[in-house]
Amino acid sequence: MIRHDHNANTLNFDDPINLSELTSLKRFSVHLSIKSDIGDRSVIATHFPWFHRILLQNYPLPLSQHLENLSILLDYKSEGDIQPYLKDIFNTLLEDRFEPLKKFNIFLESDLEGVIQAVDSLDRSEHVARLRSQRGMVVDVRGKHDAIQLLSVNYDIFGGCSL
Amino acid sequence: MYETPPRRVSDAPIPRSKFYRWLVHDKYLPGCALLLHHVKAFTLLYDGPGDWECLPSEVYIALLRLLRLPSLLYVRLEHHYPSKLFDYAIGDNVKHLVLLGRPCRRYSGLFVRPRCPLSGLLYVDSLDILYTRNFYVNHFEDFNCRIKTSSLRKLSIIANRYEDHVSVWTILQTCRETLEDFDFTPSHKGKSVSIARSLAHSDLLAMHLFSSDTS
Repeated sequence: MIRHDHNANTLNFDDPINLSELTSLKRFSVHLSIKSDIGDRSVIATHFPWFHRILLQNYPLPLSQHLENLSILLDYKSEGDIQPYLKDIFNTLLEDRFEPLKKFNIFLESDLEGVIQAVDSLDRSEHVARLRSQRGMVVDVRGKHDAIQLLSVNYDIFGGCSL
Repeated sequence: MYETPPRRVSDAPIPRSKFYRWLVHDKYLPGCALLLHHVKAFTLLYDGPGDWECLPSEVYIALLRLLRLPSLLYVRLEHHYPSKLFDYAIGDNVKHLVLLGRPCRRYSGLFVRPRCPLSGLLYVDSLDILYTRNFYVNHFEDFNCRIKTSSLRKLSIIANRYEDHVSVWTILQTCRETLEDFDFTPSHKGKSVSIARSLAHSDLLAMHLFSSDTS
């Protein structure tokens, strides 16, 4: 199903949305995902290249001149390190042209084990440290796991008892 | 231990819409609505059979009365609602709209209409839309629709399909000088495919092979 995205249209995906034309935009929240193919775990689909392109539209003007708060809400259903996906975003934000940006929120949603590891790894990463020290930016990394899924598993384990 | 095998919660689906059909049989809303004069927020979850056409007229009138209250600032509609609702019912002072339902042209007509339809344009401050394409088709393509987005300061949109991005951009263009807060969930079309093996080496080489130029 995810492989279906890998086609000519995806290669030439030209998004009509151009944030650089929103001259008063101060806060931008975007919901992204990283998901493995159910049939082949090595195949991963993600919005990150799309988002990086959106962020860089008409760079360095004018989105970078007025954006104060950026939030990424990430649905993470995959294995492995999360940082490679964010590397380009971090590098772009580390450049001085996003000067008004003071707050960068990363909100991860995954299974319990995945979200603890990812939040911990990201919060202590070199990129986040550099954003905090060089730019004086508030970088808030938080996570949320799927408690319903956890309860559902326990429901099975305990033989359908009411919780 | 158990006479019946244990079931997962998900194996017993609840007919969710059943809970949202109470309005058809409600006896108290028409009386209560007359006593409410300072309502600021109004949320309606109604998914009854045949939608709005099956509502008893007294319930219908009570809803229209509540929606027209001058004190009303926030309106949230879920499931299906007639697109004409805005032309005839939503009060002039509403500033915050949450439209998580599908506006329906099929049920667009209101069989009970207020004596004095509201004619002023509705310039909203914030808008939260789930069915982007439906909103675009039913509201923006209707020249008589009162909803205007040119003063929007906050917009929250979920795009289910790539075509929704075009609709989103159309809405964004109307408020390009006023929008301060934008919350966006892109469609799956924007995803690129990568091979996990490459990511283990901390680079995105494989990802960029499949994606467009990001520079």
